[in-house]
Amino acid sequence: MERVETNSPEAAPVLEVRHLKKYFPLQQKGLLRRTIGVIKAVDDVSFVVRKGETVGVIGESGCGKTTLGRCVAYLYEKTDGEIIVRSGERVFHLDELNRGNNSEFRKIVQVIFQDPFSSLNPRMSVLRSVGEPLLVNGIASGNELEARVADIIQRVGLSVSHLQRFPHSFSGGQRQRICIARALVLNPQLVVADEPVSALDVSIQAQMLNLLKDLQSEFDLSYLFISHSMSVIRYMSDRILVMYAGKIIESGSRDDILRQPLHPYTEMLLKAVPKVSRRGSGRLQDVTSGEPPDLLNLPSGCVFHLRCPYAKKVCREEVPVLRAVGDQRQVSCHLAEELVLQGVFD
Amino acid sequence: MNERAKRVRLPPDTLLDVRELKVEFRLREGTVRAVNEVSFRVKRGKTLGIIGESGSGKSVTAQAMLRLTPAPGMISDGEIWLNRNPEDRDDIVNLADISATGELIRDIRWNDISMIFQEPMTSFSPVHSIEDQITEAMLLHIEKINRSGARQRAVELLTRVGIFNAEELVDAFPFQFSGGMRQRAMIAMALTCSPQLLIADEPTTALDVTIEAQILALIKELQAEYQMAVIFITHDIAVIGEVSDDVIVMYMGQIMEQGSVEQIFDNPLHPYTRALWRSIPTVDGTLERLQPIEGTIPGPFDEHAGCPFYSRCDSRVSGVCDKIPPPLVEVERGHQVRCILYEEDETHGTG
Repeated sequence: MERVETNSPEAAPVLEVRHLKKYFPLQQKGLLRRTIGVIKAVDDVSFVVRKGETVGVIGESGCGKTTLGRCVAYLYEKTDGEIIVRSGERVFHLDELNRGNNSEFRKIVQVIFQDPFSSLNPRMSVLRSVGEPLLVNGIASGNELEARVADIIQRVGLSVSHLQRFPHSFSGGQRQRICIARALVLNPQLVVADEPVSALDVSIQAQMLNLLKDLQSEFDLSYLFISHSMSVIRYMSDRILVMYAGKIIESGSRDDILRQPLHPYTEMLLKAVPKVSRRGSGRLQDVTSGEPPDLLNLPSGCVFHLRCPYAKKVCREEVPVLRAVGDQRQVSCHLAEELVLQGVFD
Repeated sequence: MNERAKRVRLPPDTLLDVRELKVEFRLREGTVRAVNEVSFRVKRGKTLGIIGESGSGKSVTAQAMLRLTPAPGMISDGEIWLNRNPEDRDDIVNLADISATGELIRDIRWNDISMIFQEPMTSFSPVHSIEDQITEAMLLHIEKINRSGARQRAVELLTRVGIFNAEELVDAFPFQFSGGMRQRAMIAMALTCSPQLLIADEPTTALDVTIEAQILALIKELQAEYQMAVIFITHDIAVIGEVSDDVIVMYMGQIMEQGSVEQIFDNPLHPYTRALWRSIPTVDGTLERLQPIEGTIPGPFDEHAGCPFYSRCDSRVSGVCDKIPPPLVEVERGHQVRCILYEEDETHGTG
């Protein structure tokens, strides 16, 4: 199997994920609860996120991108593999977390969720919601807590006058700002952002994406940025992981992935994105059929072969492995060398 | 209104003519003008795209066409003229003026106008099979069709919308379908009575892009096959550009800009439209910093004397835009803008 490499030795990655697996057993209803199948939501995934970098994860629904983010944030217990988080000199192995150092880990890794309506407690004021992490970690209380919350709330574009208000009096965009403030109040190193703009109106999305970028440079944050939107991923990411049926099927720099995709699935995703600048660019004239795979009943060989327009005999029979192609790129496709795939150009 | 008494005639290619429609929700907290003097025409066989953010009134507009406005909402003014028979221009009915529960509107639903929604899971009954739900409309609306005939037609329709093995899957329940398949089944259901107008309210918003492309292509194909007009409602600019012939840009219940898809995309004029175009990330455009629209969408009870976009506009003229509601002016043939920056082009006139 491939090794995760860190290309710049002076900067050890903030996040290192090795052969991560997260399986969900599917149990029969009833008394015996027999296990009747296993959903491999994340299956042998390895990657790194470096300091100050944004790694985008893209894929269709059910590809495992959210499960991946939840494992990294330790909201799910992983099935197998290693997750290592570094903050300065300190190294956390997710396996070794216990009551004693769990809260230390939480200070370093924070999450922003998709839905700003369900991720805030309606009975807690902004001050309490955003201040809670400081309180439970024993970092600040009283006036100091209020001062720190006031500071972060202004940095995300809200005002001190908002502190005593409750979530219902805010718009979706403002609520997402509160969620961002809550995630950042502990000065984390890594933020897992799971579809942070998908629930927002189009005119609010750009504000939020720019805010996340500004905060990244201000606090030297690393992002694991999860989205189903190629346009959003492109705007935010330095590197991109393309996931399909629980596996990374291609990874590389943003420009490489967009201009010169190596996996037919990536090409298909790029083709399917509606393009504003070239209206009627032919997306609807050349539609690929097929749907995301049934995770309980994956096809043989390459999991993508049933939808792949280039599939050959080998694709039906042999499972491709993720392998390095050139510098800093990985792909799992038997035909990567012979196919010339179409990207998008700016 | 006296105009209703007059003889109304629609232009020959016009299926639906909406005139100064107002929909209000009278609530304890105040009156929400969800749709405020909205006028547009839908041409036979063409697609009208309505784009807007939440609260813009785009879905309420669509509901009004079928008289499905939920209480306490009501059409408080305006006309919705529908030409029911393409052969007879005098066969017209004002949908705003008929009973929302009467025989006539029930006949118009499905037969003349049908609708598909964003979330096909919540639009289907979870306890009835796909067959029951598709055939129900047929049995109610098509004369001289029996159960087995209806089932046969359901299978044909499901096959037509791209559901393989429809013979078997017609007996399935909605939860057994994927999101894409549910939307296909919903489209099949909408087509049962070969309507002249299909209203699609964010039909692909809940779907993956790959499936979205499939569904949009399917709607376009069926539109040509059935010679159907489509009102396509979405917040997605790129999708609007792909499917529409004409485009309406809505904000806070009003039309901000209206024109052909070329006019709106190649020459957007309203500061809101321009700002929207600049603010979205694209897959092939510039990678420079996005220029967001500042501020937030005002709440439904926020009163504004002038332009609803005033507080967020980068070209606002204070003392004017916040005081006087801007009129909708026609700047070139078919291209209307609600903004004081533009003047009526007298050479064309509104007719």
